[in-house]
Amino acid sequence: MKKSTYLLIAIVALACAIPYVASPYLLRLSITIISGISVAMCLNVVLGYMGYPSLCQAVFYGIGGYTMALATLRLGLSPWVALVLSPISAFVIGYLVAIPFLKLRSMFFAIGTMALTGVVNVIIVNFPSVTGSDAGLRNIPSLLETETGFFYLEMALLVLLIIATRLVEKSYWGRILVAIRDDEDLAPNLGINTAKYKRTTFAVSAAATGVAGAIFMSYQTYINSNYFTVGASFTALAACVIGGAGTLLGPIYGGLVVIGLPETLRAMAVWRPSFVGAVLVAVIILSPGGVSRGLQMLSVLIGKRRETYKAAGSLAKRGEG
Amino acid sequence: MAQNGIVLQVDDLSKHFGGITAVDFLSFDVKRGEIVGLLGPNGSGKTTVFNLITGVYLPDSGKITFEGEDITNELTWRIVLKGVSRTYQATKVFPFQTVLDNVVIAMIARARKMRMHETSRKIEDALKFVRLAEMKNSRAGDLTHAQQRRLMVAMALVEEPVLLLLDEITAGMSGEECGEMIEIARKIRDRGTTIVLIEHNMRVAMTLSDRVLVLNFGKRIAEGTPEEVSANEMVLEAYLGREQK
Repeated sequence: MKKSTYLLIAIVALACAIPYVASPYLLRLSITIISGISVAMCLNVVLGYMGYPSLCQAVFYGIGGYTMALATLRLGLSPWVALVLSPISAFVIGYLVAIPFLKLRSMFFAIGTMALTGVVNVIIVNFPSVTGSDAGLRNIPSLLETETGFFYLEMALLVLLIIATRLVEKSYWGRILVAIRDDEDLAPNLGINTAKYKRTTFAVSAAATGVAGAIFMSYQTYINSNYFTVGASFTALAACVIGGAGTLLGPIYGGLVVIGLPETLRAMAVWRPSFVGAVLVAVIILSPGGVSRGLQMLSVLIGKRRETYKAAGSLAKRGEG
Repeated sequence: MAQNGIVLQVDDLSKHFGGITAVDFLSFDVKRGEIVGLLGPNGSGKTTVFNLITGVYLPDSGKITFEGEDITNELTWRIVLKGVSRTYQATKVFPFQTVLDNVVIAMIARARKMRMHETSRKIEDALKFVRLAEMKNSRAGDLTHAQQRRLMVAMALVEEPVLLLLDEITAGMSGEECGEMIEIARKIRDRGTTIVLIEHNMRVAMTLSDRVLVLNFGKRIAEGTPEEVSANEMVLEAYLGREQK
């Protein structure tokens, strides 16, 4: 195992201690952040590895949430059964969305998925009998009784996502995704069925996002159309880009900055959006590859400096001798 | 399929782009083990023919048969899996990945069914074949132009295709590099791969091809051995223009 793997395990272990030391507010905050990071991790596979800037990730988050809400409230199923249903519904809708939308590329794909978010939002708002519209649906049964339990559930999901991303990255699937990202016209000429890989990846990413949504909505026992906005999708996109799209841990750094920062800065009130915007601009200017690549570059720089010191040291010794 | 049968047959192939006719009722066939040269002035529809064969464009009319199978409206990746490989006029590799990774990606779609060591042997062979074995850990984008083009050939070759479509393999190369490329193309044919090549460089086309087709405005204007074609009036006219009388 590499040094970074140990580091990751240490960080996860430290994070697991949060419920014992944090105040209830901080615990709530960390659950929100972890949920957001999970969505960014899902988007990262589509955006970072496959190269498609999706602006409808929040739709799948919401679909997962609504599956949870409707299955428990309308059908009377247990929340655990609903949790199993949520990735299925998100996968099916994700796959159906992928068929037309993944024919679009880059900017056009972004605009297309943005429009999709808008359309879904309008549908949710105009079906109050099913969706509760702006008022939303209340009293969604909780999966677990304690906040600590939810924290660990979210943590488990995040760790699973990290492992899954790592496996994808190292597998032939990941190589194919990167090939699609780098040159989508060349890939089919190498015998790669790009449509299949793109659609499946998109749908699996949607399914995982659905699970994150279902857990979170069950946690806060409430859902409304606010989760289907372009803004919510954009948060996930921003987390990916800021953290470093196409890197394993990028979305985690990005999630901490994009979701964590505004929450911690709640006291700034009016100035908050501008401040967060300024931070994002600063990150993009200072480290175009995101926080993740910035850290990599930094460690390389430090490593080099160390080597230079060593070299200088050995030279000095030779001089003495 | 007979060993000396026809690998590729093209019947009455047509393609229009708006008002422009790129390929105009073109018919030809390619026999197994042959090197066929497609020649013609700029814009005569040579690359369009390649794009039609590999399914990048759908033809307006006509039929393409590969090893007895109709591949006219087939998807690109399926055609490639059947055994058609191509290189591009403009160099197309994955510049941010290593040479080795480029070949691995070229292999990936069909390699999973095979054994791992066989796959890696094929990759090694392909890299040695184009003389890039020493450079396998360099970034493809850092290679010279000629090396990148050789890498592109390795990527097309690694899956051991039945039919190889080479689109101006010597584009932008110096004389010496051209010679190397011709040598590689000959060796590919000796392995039993059938080749269709597009060439601008007359010398290259004439030395490599067993048979030459000359296109102009998407139509075939001449066909035959390199010697026959180079003496053909129509060909000289298409390339040099009509002599004023």
